[in-house]
Amino acid sequence: MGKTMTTSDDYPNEHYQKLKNELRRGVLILAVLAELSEEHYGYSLRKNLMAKGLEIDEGTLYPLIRRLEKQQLLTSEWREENNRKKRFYTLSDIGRQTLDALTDEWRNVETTLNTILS
Amino acid sequence: MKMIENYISNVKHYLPDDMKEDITEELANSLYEQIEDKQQELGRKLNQREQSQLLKNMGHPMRIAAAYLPNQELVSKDYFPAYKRALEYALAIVIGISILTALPHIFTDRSVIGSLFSALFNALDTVLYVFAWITIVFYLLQKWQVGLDSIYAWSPENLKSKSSKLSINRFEMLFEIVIYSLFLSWWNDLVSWPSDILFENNLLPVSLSSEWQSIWLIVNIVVAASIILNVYKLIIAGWSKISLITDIALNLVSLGIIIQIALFDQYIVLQADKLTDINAVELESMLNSVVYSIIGFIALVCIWELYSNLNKIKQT
Repeated sequence: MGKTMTTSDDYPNEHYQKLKNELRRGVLILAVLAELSEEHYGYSLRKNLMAKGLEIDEGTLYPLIRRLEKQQLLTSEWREENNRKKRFYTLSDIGRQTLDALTDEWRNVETTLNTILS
Repeated sequence: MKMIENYISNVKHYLPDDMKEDITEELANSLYEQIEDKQQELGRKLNQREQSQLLKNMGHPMRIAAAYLPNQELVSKDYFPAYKRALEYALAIVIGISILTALPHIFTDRSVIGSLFSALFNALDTVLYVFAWITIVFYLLQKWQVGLDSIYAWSPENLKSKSSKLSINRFEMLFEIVIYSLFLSWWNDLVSWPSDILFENNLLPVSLSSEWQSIWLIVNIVVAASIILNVYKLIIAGWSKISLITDIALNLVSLGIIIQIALFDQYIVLQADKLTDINAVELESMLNSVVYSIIGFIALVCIWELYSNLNKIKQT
Protein backbone atom coordinates (compact mmCIF):
# COMPACT_ATOMS: atom_id res chain seq x y z
CA MET A 1 0.00 0.00 0.00
CA GLY A 2 2.62 2.53 1.13
CA LYS A 3 0.09 5.36 1.38
CA THR A 4 -0.45 7.34 4.53
CA MET A 5 -3.98 8.09 5.63
CA THR A 6 -4.78 11.79 5.82
CA THR A 7 -7.11 12.64 8.67
CA SER A 8 -9.08 15.72 9.64
CA ASP A 9 -6.43 16.41 12.29
CA ASP A 10 -3.87 16.95 9.54
CA TYR A 11 -6.04 19.58 7.86
CA PRO A 12 -8.15 21.02 10.64
CA ASN A 13 -9.37 23.85 8.48
CA GLU A 14 -12.85 24.94 7.55
CA HIS A 15 -12.52 23.80 3.91
CA TYR A 16 -11.71 20.29 5.00
CA GLN A 17 -14.68 20.28 7.38
CA LYS A 18 -16.99 21.42 4.59
CA LEU A 19 -15.68 18.78 2.20
CA LYS A 20 -16.01 16.09 4.87
CA ASN A 21 -19.58 17.15 5.68
CA GLU A 22 -20.50 17.10 1.99
CA LEU A 23 -19.04 13.63 1.59
CA ARG A 24 -20.90 12.35 4.64
CA ARG A 25 -24.18 14.01 3.75
CA GLY A 26 -24.58 11.76 0.73
CA VAL A 27 -24.20 8.55 2.72
CA LEU A 28 -26.32 9.61 5.72
CA ILE A 29 -29.58 8.70 4.02
CA LEU A 30 -28.32 5.24 3.21
CA ALA A 31 -27.12 4.73 6.78
CA VAL A 32 -30.42 5.93 8.26
CA LEU A 33 -32.50 3.77 5.93
CA ALA A 34 -30.33 0.75 6.69
CA GLU A 35 -30.59 1.31 10.42
CA LEU A 36 -34.34 1.70 10.20
CA SER A 37 -34.71 -1.83 8.87
CA GLU A 38 -35.35 -2.27 12.57
CA GLU A 39 -37.80 -0.04 14.38
CA HIS A 40 -36.30 2.95 16.20
CA TYR A 41 -37.36 6.23 17.75
CA GLY A 42 -35.24 9.31 17.09
CA TYR A 43 -32.89 9.13 20.03
CA SER A 44 -32.36 5.35 19.85
CA LEU A 45 -31.61 5.67 16.14
CA ARG A 46 -29.00 8.33 16.84
CA LYS A 47 -27.44 6.24 19.63
CA ASN A 48 -27.26 3.21 17.35
CA LEU A 49 -25.66 5.17 14.52
CA MET A 50 -23.15 6.70 16.92
CA ALA A 51 -22.34 3.30 18.42
CA LYS A 52 -21.50 2.14 14.90
CA GLY A 53 -19.24 5.14 14.37
CA LEU A 54 -21.54 7.56 12.52
CA GLU A 55 -21.69 10.87 14.37
CA ILE A 56 -24.85 12.80 13.57
CA ASP A 57 -26.46 15.64 15.48
CA GLU A 58 -30.15 15.85 16.31
CA GLY A 59 -30.58 18.98 14.21
CA THR A 60 -29.68 16.94 11.13
CA LEU A 61 -31.09 13.53 11.97
CA TYR A 62 -34.61 14.39 13.11
CA PRO A 63 -35.49 16.64 10.17
CA LEU A 64 -33.98 14.01 7.85
CA ILE A 65 -36.20 11.21 9.14
CA ARG A 66 -39.21 13.52 8.82
CA ARG A 67 -38.31 14.17 5.20
CA LEU A 68 -37.85 10.47 4.52
CA GLU A 69 -41.24 9.81 6.06
CA LYS A 70 -42.78 12.52 3.89
CA GLN A 71 -41.23 10.81 0.88
CA GLN A 72 -43.04 7.64 2.04
CA LEU A 73 -39.80 5.77 2.66
CA LEU A 74 -40.63 5.45 6.36
CA THR A 75 -43.72 4.85 8.42
CA SER A 76 -44.11 6.00 11.99
CA GLU A 77 -46.35 5.65 14.99
CA TRP A 78 -46.52 7.22 18.45
CA ARG A 79 -46.25 4.75 21.32
CA GLU A 80 -45.67 5.03 25.02
CA GLU A 81 -42.50 3.49 26.41
CA ASN A 82 -41.10 4.01 29.92
CA ASN A 83 -43.84 6.56 30.65
CA ARG A 84 -42.75 8.62 27.67
CA LYS A 85 -44.47 9.08 24.32
CA LYS A 86 -42.09 8.20 21.50
CA ARG A 87 -42.39 8.24 17.77
CA PHE A 88 -41.15 4.98 16.29
CA TYR A 89 -39.96 4.83 12.71
CA THR A 90 -39.43 1.89 10.41
CA LEU A 91 -38.94 1.31 6.68
CA SER A 92 -42.02 1.22 4.49
CA ASP A 93 -42.22 -1.12 1.48
CA ILE A 94 -41.05 1.68 -0.78
CA GLY A 95 -38.30 2.41 1.74
CA ARG A 96 -37.14 -1.19 1.65
CA GLN A 97 -36.99 -1.21 -2.16
CA THR A 98 -35.19 2.13 -2.11
CA LEU A 99 -32.70 0.82 0.45
CA ASP A 100 -31.94 -2.19 -1.78
CA ALA A 101 -31.47 0.01 -4.84
CA LEU A 102 -29.31 2.51 -2.94
CA THR A 103 -27.24 -0.29 -1.44
CA ASP A 104 -26.51 -1.62 -4.97
CA GLU A 105 -25.65 1.89 -6.05
CA TRP A 106 -23.37 2.31 -3.03
CA ARG A 107 -21.54 -0.90 -3.90
CA ASN A 108 -21.02 0.36 -7.47
CA VAL A 109 -19.74 3.70 -6.22
CA GLU A 110 -17.47 1.96 -3.72
CA THR A 111 -16.01 -0.32 -6.40
CA THR A 112 -15.49 2.58 -8.78
CA LEU A 113 -13.92 4.75 -6.12
CA ASN A 114 -11.68 1.96 -4.94
CA THR A 115 -10.46 1.57 -8.51
CA ILE A 116 -9.87 5.31 -8.81
CA LEU A 117 -8.19 5.59 -5.42
CA SER A 118 -5.98 2.53 -5.73
CA MET B 1 -34.97 21.85 33.66
CA LYS B 2 -36.26 25.38 33.13
CA MET B 3 -33.55 25.92 30.49
CA ILE B 4 -34.65 22.84 28.55
CA GLU B 5 -38.29 23.93 28.68
CA ASN B 6 -37.33 27.38 27.44
CA TYR B 7 -35.33 25.85 24.62
CA ILE B 8 -38.21 23.64 23.54
CA SER B 9 -40.67 26.54 23.72
CA ASN B 10 -38.34 28.57 21.51
CA VAL B 11 -38.11 25.82 18.89
CA LYS B 12 -41.91 25.55 19.06
CA HIS B 13 -42.22 29.28 18.47
CA TYR B 14 -40.34 29.06 15.16
CA LEU B 15 -42.35 26.11 13.82
CA PRO B 16 -45.59 26.33 11.83
CA ASP B 17 -48.74 25.51 13.84
CA ASP B 18 -49.35 22.12 12.25
CA MET B 19 -45.85 20.92 13.20
CA LYS B 20 -45.47 22.46 16.66
CA GLU B 21 -46.76 19.66 18.94
CA ASP B 22 -45.42 16.73 17.00
CA ILE B 23 -41.87 17.96 16.59
CA THR B 24 -41.38 19.55 19.99
CA GLU B 25 -42.67 16.43 21.76
CA GLU B 26 -40.19 14.27 19.88
CA LEU B 27 -37.37 16.76 20.48
CA ALA B 28 -38.20 17.16 24.17
CA ASN B 29 -38.30 13.40 24.74
CA SER B 30 -34.98 13.03 22.99
CA LEU B 31 -33.42 15.77 25.11
CA TYR B 32 -34.71 14.39 28.40
CA GLU B 33 -33.57 10.90 27.50
CA GLN B 34 -30.15 12.25 26.60
CA ILE B 35 -29.95 14.02 29.95
CA GLU B 36 -30.99 10.84 31.76
CA ASP B 37 -28.28 8.89 29.94
CA LYS B 38 -25.66 11.48 30.85
CA GLN B 39 -26.79 11.56 34.47
CA GLN B 40 -26.62 7.78 34.68
CA GLU B 41 -23.13 7.89 33.19
CA LEU B 42 -21.95 10.55 35.66
CA GLY B 43 -23.93 9.20 38.63
CA ARG B 44 -25.29 12.66 39.42
CA LYS B 45 -27.60 15.33 38.07
CA LEU B 46 -26.39 17.59 35.26
CA ASN B 47 -25.54 21.07 36.44
CA GLN B 48 -26.62 24.29 34.71
CA ARG B 49 -23.39 24.56 32.70
CA GLU B 50 -23.67 20.99 31.41
CA GLN B 51 -27.30 21.46 30.45
CA SER B 52 -26.38 24.67 28.70
CA GLN B 53 -23.59 22.91 26.79
CA LEU B 54 -25.97 20.16 25.71
CA LEU B 55 -28.38 22.74 24.30
CA LYS B 56 -25.54 24.65 22.68
CA ASN B 57 -24.56 21.44 20.91
CA MET B 58 -28.11 21.13 19.58
CA GLY B 59 -27.94 24.55 17.92
CA HIS B 60 -30.00 27.74 17.87
CA PRO B 61 -33.75 27.03 18.21
CA MET B 62 -34.42 28.99 15.02
CA ARG B 63 -31.98 26.81 13.06
CA ILE B 64 -33.37 23.61 14.54
CA ALA B 65 -36.90 24.64 13.57
CA ALA B 66 -35.76 25.77 10.12
CA ALA B 67 -34.22 22.37 9.41
CA TYR B 68 -37.73 20.85 9.49
CA LEU B 69 -39.08 23.27 6.91
CA PRO B 70 -38.81 22.86 3.17
CA ASN B 71 -37.77 25.68 0.85
CA GLN B 72 -35.32 27.54 3.05
CA GLU B 73 -34.08 29.81 0.29
CA LEU B 74 -35.68 32.92 -1.14
CA VAL B 75 -34.21 32.02 -4.51
CA SER B 76 -32.64 28.58 -4.88
CA LYS B 77 -29.40 27.99 -6.73
CA ASP B 78 -31.28 26.58 -9.75
CA TYR B 79 -33.14 29.83 -10.24
CA PHE B 80 -30.42 32.18 -9.02
CA PRO B 81 -28.54 32.77 -12.34
CA ALA B 82 -31.80 33.75 -14.05
CA TYR B 83 -32.84 35.83 -11.03
CA LYS B 84 -29.53 37.73 -11.07
CA ARG B 85 -29.84 38.36 -14.82
CA ALA B 86 -33.45 39.54 -14.44
CA LEU B 87 -32.35 41.92 -11.68
CA GLU B 88 -29.54 43.30 -13.84
CA TYR B 89 -31.90 43.95 -16.77
CA ALA B 90 -34.64 45.44 -14.62
CA LEU B 91 -32.32 47.67 -12.61
CA ALA B 92 -30.57 48.90 -15.77
CA ILE B 93 -33.98 49.81 -17.27
CA VAL B 94 -35.11 51.52 -14.05
CA ILE B 95 -31.89 53.52 -13.68
CA GLY B 96 -31.88 54.50 -17.38
CA ILE B 97 -35.52 55.65 -17.27
CA SER B 98 -35.00 57.41 -13.93
CA ILE B 99 -32.14 59.46 -15.36
CA LEU B 100 -34.07 60.37 -18.50
CA THR B 101 -37.21 61.40 -16.63
CA ALA B 102 -35.32 63.24 -13.89
CA LEU B 103 -33.11 65.38 -16.15
CA PRO B 104 -35.76 67.94 -17.21
CA HIS B 105 -36.70 68.52 -13.54
CA ILE B 106 -33.08 68.83 -12.46
CA PHE B 107 -32.46 71.62 -14.95
CA THR B 108 -35.76 73.44 -14.59
CA ASP B 109 -36.18 73.34 -10.80
CA ARG B 110 -34.85 76.21 -8.73
CA SER B 111 -32.57 74.08 -6.61
CA VAL B 112 -30.46 71.78 -8.78
CA ILE B 113 -28.97 69.99 -5.74
CA GLY B 114 -32.42 69.54 -4.17
CA SER B 115 -33.94 68.11 -7.33
CA LEU B 116 -30.85 65.92 -7.82
CA PHE B 117 -31.33 64.38 -4.38
CA SER B 118 -35.05 64.06 -4.95
CA ALA B 119 -34.38 62.24 -8.25
CA LEU B 120 -31.84 60.00 -6.53
CA PHE B 121 -34.25 58.99 -3.76
CA ASN B 122 -37.07 58.44 -6.26
CA ALA B 123 -34.79 56.19 -8.30
CA LEU B 124 -33.72 54.32 -5.15
CA ASP B 125 -37.35 53.91 -4.15
CA THR B 126 -38.23 52.41 -7.55
CA VAL B 127 -35.12 50.21 -7.50
CA LEU B 128 -36.16 48.75 -4.14
CA TYR B 129 -39.68 48.03 -5.40
CA VAL B 130 -38.32 46.35 -8.54
CA PHE B 131 -35.87 44.34 -6.44
CA ALA B 132 -38.65 43.20 -4.12
CA TRP B 133 -41.05 42.27 -6.91
CA ILE B 134 -38.50 40.29 -8.88
CA THR B 135 -37.48 38.45 -5.71
CA ILE B 136 -41.13 37.64 -4.95
CA VAL B 137 -41.74 36.38 -8.51
CA PHE B 138 -38.69 34.11 -8.38
CA TYR B 139 -39.56 32.92 -4.88
CA LEU B 140 -42.99 31.85 -6.12
CA LEU B 141 -41.54 30.25 -9.27
CA GLN B 142 -39.19 28.08 -7.24
CA LYS B 143 -41.81 27.39 -4.57
CA TRP B 144 -44.13 25.95 -7.22
CA GLN B 145 -41.19 24.52 -9.17
CA VAL B 146 -42.33 26.10 -12.43
CA GLY B 147 -40.73 27.95 -15.28
CA LEU B 148 -37.27 26.40 -14.99
CA ASP B 149 -37.41 24.84 -18.48
CA SER B 150 -38.71 28.04 -20.09
CA ILE B 151 -36.18 30.22 -18.26
CA TYR B 152 -33.27 28.08 -19.40
CA ALA B 153 -34.67 27.20 -22.83
CA TRP B 154 -31.71 27.19 -25.21
CA SER B 155 -30.12 25.48 -28.16
CA PRO B 156 -26.41 25.33 -29.01
CA GLU B 157 -27.23 26.57 -32.54
CA ASN B 158 -28.76 29.81 -31.26
CA LEU B 159 -26.04 30.69 -28.77
CA LYS B 160 -24.49 34.04 -29.63
CA SER B 161 -20.87 34.97 -29.07
CA LYS B 162 -20.17 36.49 -25.65
CA SER B 163 -16.70 37.66 -26.52
CA SER B 164 -15.30 40.20 -24.04
CA LYS B 165 -14.79 42.55 -27.00
CA LEU B 166 -18.58 42.64 -27.39
CA SER B 167 -19.33 43.33 -23.75
CA ILE B 168 -20.15 46.82 -22.55
CA ASN B 169 -19.45 48.35 -19.17
CA ARG B 170 -22.79 49.56 -17.78
CA PHE B 171 -21.16 52.34 -15.79
CA GLU B 172 -19.62 53.76 -18.98
CA MET B 173 -23.04 53.65 -20.64
CA LEU B 174 -24.59 55.45 -17.70
CA PHE B 175 -21.89 58.11 -17.92
CA GLU B 176 -22.47 58.55 -21.67
CA ILE B 177 -26.23 58.87 -21.17
CA VAL B 178 -25.68 61.62 -18.61
CA ILE B 179 -23.22 63.48 -20.87
CA TYR B 180 -25.51 63.22 -23.93
CA SER B 181 -28.48 64.35 -21.85
CA LEU B 182 -26.54 67.34 -20.50
CA PHE B 183 -25.50 68.26 -24.04
CA LEU B 184 -29.07 67.92 -25.31
CA SER B 185 -30.33 70.12 -22.47
CA TRP B 186 -27.75 72.78 -23.30
CA TRP B 187 -28.38 72.50 -27.05
CA ASN B 188 -32.06 73.21 -26.46
CA ASP B 189 -31.43 76.07 -24.02
CA LEU B 190 -32.67 74.13 -21.01
CA VAL B 191 -29.42 74.97 -19.26
CA SER B 192 -27.05 77.82 -19.86
CA TRP B 193 -23.28 77.95 -19.52
CA PRO B 194 -21.39 81.07 -18.41
CA SER B 195 -20.92 82.78 -21.77
CA ASP B 196 -18.76 85.76 -20.97
CA ILE B 197 -15.01 85.91 -21.33
CA LEU B 198 -12.93 88.25 -19.20
CA PHE B 199 -10.68 90.10 -21.60
CA GLU B 200 -8.62 93.19 -20.68
CA ASN B 201 -10.91 93.89 -17.72
CA ASN B 202 -13.98 93.66 -19.96
CA LEU B 203 -16.56 90.89 -19.93
CA LEU B 204 -17.06 89.92 -23.57
CA PRO B 205 -20.31 88.04 -24.27
CA VAL B 206 -19.69 84.94 -26.37
CA SER B 207 -22.32 83.20 -28.47
CA LEU B 208 -22.55 80.59 -31.20
CA SER B 209 -22.73 81.89 -34.76
CA SER B 210 -26.08 81.79 -36.55
CA GLU B 211 -24.77 79.01 -38.84
CA TRP B 212 -25.29 76.48 -36.05
CA GLN B 213 -29.07 76.95 -36.52
CA SER B 214 -28.86 74.95 -39.75
CA ILE B 215 -27.87 71.77 -37.88
CA TRP B 216 -30.05 72.27 -34.79
CA LEU B 217 -32.65 69.64 -35.73
CA ILE B 218 -30.29 66.96 -37.04
CA VAL B 219 -28.06 67.26 -33.94
CA ASN B 220 -31.16 66.83 -31.76
CA ILE B 221 -32.15 63.71 -33.69
CA VAL B 222 -28.64 62.18 -33.58
CA VAL B 223 -28.10 62.86 -29.86
CA ALA B 224 -31.60 61.67 -28.90
CA ALA B 225 -31.06 58.50 -30.96
CA SER B 226 -27.67 58.02 -29.25
CA ILE B 227 -29.33 58.28 -25.82
CA ILE B 228 -31.95 55.68 -26.79
CA LEU B 229 -29.22 53.41 -28.18
CA ASN B 230 -27.18 53.80 -25.00
CA VAL B 231 -30.18 52.92 -22.84
CA TYR B 232 -30.54 49.75 -24.93
CA LYS B 233 -26.81 49.03 -24.51
CA LEU B 234 -27.12 49.72 -20.77
CA ILE B 235 -29.81 47.05 -20.53
CA ILE B 236 -28.12 44.45 -22.73
CA ALA B 237 -24.59 45.25 -21.43
CA GLY B 238 -23.19 44.05 -24.74
CA TRP B 239 -23.09 44.76 -28.45
CA SER B 240 -25.62 43.17 -30.78
CA LYS B 241 -25.78 43.37 -34.58
CA ILE B 242 -28.66 45.86 -34.37
CA SER B 243 -26.86 48.15 -31.91
CA LEU B 244 -23.66 48.01 -33.95
CA ILE B 245 -25.43 48.87 -37.22
CA THR B 246 -27.33 51.70 -35.51
CA ASP B 247 -24.12 52.99 -33.96
CA ILE B 248 -22.33 52.89 -37.33
CA ALA B 249 -25.23 54.77 -38.94
CA LEU B 250 -25.18 57.40 -36.19
CA ASN B 251 -21.41 57.81 -36.54
CA LEU B 252 -21.74 58.27 -40.32
CA VAL B 253 -24.45 60.90 -39.82
CA SER B 254 -22.30 62.57 -37.15
CA LEU B 255 -19.37 62.70 -39.57
CA GLY B 256 -21.68 64.31 -42.14
CA ILE B 257 -22.70 66.92 -39.56
CA ILE B 258 -19.05 67.53 -38.63
CA ILE B 259 -18.15 68.12 -42.28
CA GLN B 260 -21.00 70.60 -42.48
CA ILE B 261 -19.74 72.33 -39.30
CA ALA B 262 -16.21 72.40 -40.67
CA LEU B 263 -17.52 74.44 -43.59
CA PHE B 264 -18.94 77.16 -41.31
CA ASP B 265 -17.32 80.59 -41.72
CA GLN B 266 -17.43 81.19 -38.00
CA TYR B 267 -18.26 79.15 -34.91
CA ILE B 268 -18.02 81.65 -32.07
CA VAL B 269 -19.01 85.29 -32.12
CA LEU B 270 -17.84 87.88 -29.64
CA GLN B 271 -20.22 90.82 -29.25
CA ALA B 272 -19.53 93.11 -32.27
CA ASP B 273 -19.27 96.52 -30.54
CA LYS B 274 -16.57 95.17 -28.23
CA LEU B 275 -14.35 94.12 -31.11
CA THR B 276 -12.66 97.45 -31.67
CA ASP B 277 -9.54 96.19 -30.05
CA ILE B 278 -7.32 94.22 -32.41
CA ASN B 279 -6.51 91.81 -29.56
CA ALA B 280 -10.21 91.02 -29.19
CA VAL B 281 -10.37 90.09 -32.87
CA GLU B 282 -7.43 87.79 -32.31
CA LEU B 283 -9.21 86.28 -29.30
CA GLU B 284 -12.27 85.56 -31.43
CA SER B 285 -10.09 83.95 -34.06
CA MET B 286 -8.35 81.87 -31.39
CA LEU B 287 -11.69 80.71 -29.93
CA ASN B 288 -12.82 79.67 -33.40
CA SER B 289 -9.60 77.68 -33.81
CA VAL B 290 -10.26 75.94 -30.47
CA VAL B 291 -13.78 74.98 -31.58
CA TYR B 292 -12.38 73.82 -34.92
CA SER B 293 -9.87 71.61 -33.08
CA ILE B 294 -12.61 70.18 -30.84
CA ILE B 295 -14.71 69.40 -33.91
CA GLY B 296 -11.65 67.73 -35.46
CA PHE B 297 -11.15 65.67 -32.31
CA ILE B 298 -14.82 64.58 -32.32
CA ALA B 299 -14.41 63.59 -36.00
CA LEU B 300 -11.42 61.41 -35.05
CA VAL B 301 -13.46 59.76 -32.26
CA CYS B 302 -16.26 59.05 -34.76
CA ILE B 303 -13.80 57.53 -37.24
CA TRP B 304 -12.24 55.38 -34.50
CA GLU B 305 -15.68 54.20 -33.36
CA LEU B 306 -16.62 53.40 -36.96
CA TYR B 307 -13.46 51.32 -37.37
CA SER B 308 -13.94 49.58 -34.02
CA ASN B 309 -17.63 48.84 -34.69
CA LEU B 310 -16.87 47.44 -38.13
CA ASN B 311 -14.39 45.06 -36.47
CA LYS B 312 -16.96 44.08 -33.84
CA ILE B 313 -19.65 43.41 -36.42
CA LYS B 314 -17.48 40.63 -37.86
CA GLN B 315 -17.63 38.84 -34.50
CA THR B 316 -21.41 38.94 -34.11
